[in-house]
Amino acid sequence: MQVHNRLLVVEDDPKLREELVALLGNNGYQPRAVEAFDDVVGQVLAAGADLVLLDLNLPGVDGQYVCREVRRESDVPIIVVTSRDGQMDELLSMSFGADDFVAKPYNAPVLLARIARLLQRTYGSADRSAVLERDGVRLDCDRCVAERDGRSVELTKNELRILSLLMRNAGKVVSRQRIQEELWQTDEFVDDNTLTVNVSHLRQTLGSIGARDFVQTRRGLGYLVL
Amino acid sequence: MGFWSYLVDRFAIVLCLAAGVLLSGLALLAHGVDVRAFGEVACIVGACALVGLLLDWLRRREFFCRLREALDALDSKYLASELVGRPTTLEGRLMYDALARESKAMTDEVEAARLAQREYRDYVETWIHEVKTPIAAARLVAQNHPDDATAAMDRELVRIEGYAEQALYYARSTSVDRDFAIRRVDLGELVRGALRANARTLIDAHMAPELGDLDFEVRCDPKWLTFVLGQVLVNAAKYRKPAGPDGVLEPARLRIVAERRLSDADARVTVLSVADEGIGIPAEDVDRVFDRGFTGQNGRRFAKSTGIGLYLVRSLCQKMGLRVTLASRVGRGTTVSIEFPDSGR
Repeated sequence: MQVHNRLLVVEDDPKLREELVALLGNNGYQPRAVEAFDDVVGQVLAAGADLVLLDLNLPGVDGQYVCREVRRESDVPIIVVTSRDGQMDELLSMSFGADDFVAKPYNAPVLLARIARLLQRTYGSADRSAVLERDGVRLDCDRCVAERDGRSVELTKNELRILSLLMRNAGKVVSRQRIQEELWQTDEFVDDNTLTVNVSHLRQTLGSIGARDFVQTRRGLGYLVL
Repeated sequence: MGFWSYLVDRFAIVLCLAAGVLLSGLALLAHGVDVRAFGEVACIVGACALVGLLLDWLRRREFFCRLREALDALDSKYLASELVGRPTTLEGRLMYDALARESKAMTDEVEAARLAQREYRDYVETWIHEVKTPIAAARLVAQNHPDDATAAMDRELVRIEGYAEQALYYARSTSVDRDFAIRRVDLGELVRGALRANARTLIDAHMAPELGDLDFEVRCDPKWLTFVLGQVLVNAAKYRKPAGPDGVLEPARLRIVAERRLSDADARVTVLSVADEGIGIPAEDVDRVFDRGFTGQNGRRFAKSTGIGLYLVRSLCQKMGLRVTLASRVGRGTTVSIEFPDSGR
């Protein structure tokens, strides 16, 4: 199955660009950035990305113009990322062919959720690798199933989200707040207690395929998949 | 302008006229003219003078009546003189011309002040848009390098972001132009959007949102209302009950629900209410929480308050034609309700 994870970042603020690329890289995408702004349209078209993050305020060229020109020749999904958040900016961007609009400053989970949603919408299920594997445990995000040693078990939506977040950050402790934030971005407004229950259910579920200790607790810090 | 006060105003002329008639009478009498003949002459002169004064009074009175009517009728009272036009009397014309110069000068001053205010507002808006880029970059730095220090920094950045956003909406709320667009929106999606946008703050405060029936359509500007809801949600987090003696913050319920009902004015309305179980607001403060700059006992005792949040909530709601109310009990919690004119389910 082809993986659609090549993202192109068009952002003129160097620090923001650098951090966006790092963020996307850390989350299973293959990001590239436009560094020079003389022929942005040409570069976007030549990059052949699966999705473009486009800032509206670019030196020497208007982002909305870029959007319109790219759209003439390509159907690549475009998310406009900007600090101009007026009613008109959003409407204009949409009328110039942008697919989504995110106002700065955004926090990482919001932006990642929007990217995942748009990739899903455009290419079907094949966003960042839909199958995660770690320590003998395979997680199939499309089928909502975890497998180990030929045994498989179905996960609930929240269990899937928690486990995939932990597996994508394998080896690092993920704080409870970070997990909650991820769940909130999918409109699951879970509180502390619910999260604890969700995680203990997840452990039980994993226990049924013999991976009970796959998710570890670091008291006061969060959870961890090694 | 009564005729009597008109005459009193011209007492010098009237007095001299009377004196003239009287003195010429005495002179004529000294020359042996008949008293009756003098009486007739005096009456004729007096009557003519009276008619002259009467005509003059009517002419002036007509102008001042029109002026007063114009003043009563106009909202922009400074336009009255233009509406009435230049009077025909000499003093009237002189006065009118002086007034015209004065009001021209004043209009220029007002225009200059308005321009300065508009430029300042534009600058504030531009500045806020500019500052969002470094805030976004700084937040990503923090999120890409997760540890205790960057997490704490990110939390502060969220606060800066909140204040910047508030300033932006403050600038917008002072604008005379309508820079919002009312349309039909799904209330549930608005509420969920506001929760997502303020997730970090609410999660850090261990808030537990409980969404009731929100399956309604309302008419408002979605961005403005998301900001308004954000202020209310952040307040609930800010004024939640503190941790118990064991130092554990229990999840604090935050109930968000909407219903359709008849308003006090007997109109069908959709009411969205956000009810927290926080520390509540003292009864003597409740009526003033929407006032600009009002911080109240809670603002001083528990958290730093600028007294701007709820002020903006009310003024933005008013601009959109929504009614917002607040009810609270100390120790029990606070409920903020927003009333949307009906537009159906």
